[in-house]
Amino acid sequence: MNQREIFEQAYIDLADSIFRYIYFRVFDRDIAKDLTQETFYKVWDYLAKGKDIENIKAFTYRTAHNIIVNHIRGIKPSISIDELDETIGFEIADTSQEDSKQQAQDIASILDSFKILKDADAEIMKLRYIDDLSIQEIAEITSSTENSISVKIHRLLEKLRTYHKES
Amino acid sequence: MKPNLENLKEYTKNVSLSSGEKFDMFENIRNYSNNNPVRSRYSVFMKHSIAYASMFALLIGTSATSYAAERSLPGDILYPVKTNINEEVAKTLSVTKKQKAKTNVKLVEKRMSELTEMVVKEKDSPEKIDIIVQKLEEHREELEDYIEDIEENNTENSDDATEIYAELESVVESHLDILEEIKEDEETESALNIALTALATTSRATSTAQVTTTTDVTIQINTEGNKASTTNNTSTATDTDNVITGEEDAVNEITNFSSKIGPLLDSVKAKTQQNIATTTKIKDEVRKKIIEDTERKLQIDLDEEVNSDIEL
Repeated sequence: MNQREIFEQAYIDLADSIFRYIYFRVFDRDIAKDLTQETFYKVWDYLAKGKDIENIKAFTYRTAHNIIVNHIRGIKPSISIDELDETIGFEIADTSQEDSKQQAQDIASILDSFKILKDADAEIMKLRYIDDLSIQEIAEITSSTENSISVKIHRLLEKLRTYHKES
Repeated sequence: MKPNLENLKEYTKNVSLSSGEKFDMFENIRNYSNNNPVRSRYSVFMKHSIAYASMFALLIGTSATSYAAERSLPGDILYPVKTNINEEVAKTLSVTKKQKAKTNVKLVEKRMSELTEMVVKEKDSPEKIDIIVQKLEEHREELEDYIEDIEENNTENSDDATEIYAELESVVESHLDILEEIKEDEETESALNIALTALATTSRATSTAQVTTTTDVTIQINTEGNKASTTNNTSTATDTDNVITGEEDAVNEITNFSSKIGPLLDSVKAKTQQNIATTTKIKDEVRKKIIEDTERKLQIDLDEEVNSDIEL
């Protein structure tokens, strides 16, 4: 498999996941689209140097993360409920408008609760509960071990539950 | 259902690109990859890697071989490497005529050393000595050419030419000793004779700038009744002994030279026979000693055996 084939296959496999990943950090669909494209450009840049990528999934996620960091530059985007409703409610058919708005609100508040966590910890929780990645995959992306990710998630869940109970 | 952390992904998984969006983006990234083709810094190298690898191996192999060849003697497999490669390189690295001439003098010395080594190690044979003689002739011819050039161009610096002569002379004479070791072999003697005399000639025949390059020298040497002669260029050989057309100095030197060789060869013969006798004597003595030692040892072993039997 040459570089070109590897690259295009990676896009087909990961485009949606990366888009989703980026969206739930920037909370803007258009920006998410742009940054997704940029992510894949960057992946190609690396492959075009003739370098091999052992785990292209992890590599692409990491690249996306870096692009997000550059883009946000410390400014945490605010979560617009309407925007969220529109985006998430896009595919859900049998939910009334009211319900979906409420759901969006609930989701927004969950996402908002991540603010009590450190950036890196919030990232891990998102990878687990939004992007639905396995412990192993998270470990690869964050250059950590499965064990430490496992332990961390357990601890962070506790923290979030405590926060929810209190609020 | 109410969204919570655990079921969050059920909601979020619906966020994705539309097919249109996905396709458009695919085109974009494809264009991007086309416009920025793979420019591996290794790919060009790897194409030629076999060439590089074999060049490298050849280089290593060559230098190892040429290094090993340095100590080879005529008849050895690597000797041609020494003469045709190593020495050619040395010649090429000599730029000026003077340097080239000096290199040739060094090569003459090398030949003499090879000869010495061969004789000492008893590896010499008429064929091998012939190789040396041929090489000596080569060196001599080249030396002549270079010296001619030097003298043509440097009428002021006749010092250069003189320097070279001096070196050549000292090389040849200092190695005359090896003649003492040469074994009895008429052909060998005469061949070597010729070569060395020719060299002596080169070092003396055109010692002044006035002598033209077409000076011919004929030498005849009597050695034990064998007539050996060497001629240069267009001169003709005559039957009379010691006919020389050239400088008086040259005549004297050559006479000296040939007169040195004669008695030397005689003494070589005598010594060789003596050596053979001595060697045989020594060999006998050593053999006797070995036998004695062995007998003594056997006796000891025998005694031990007898004693151990008694103990039992």
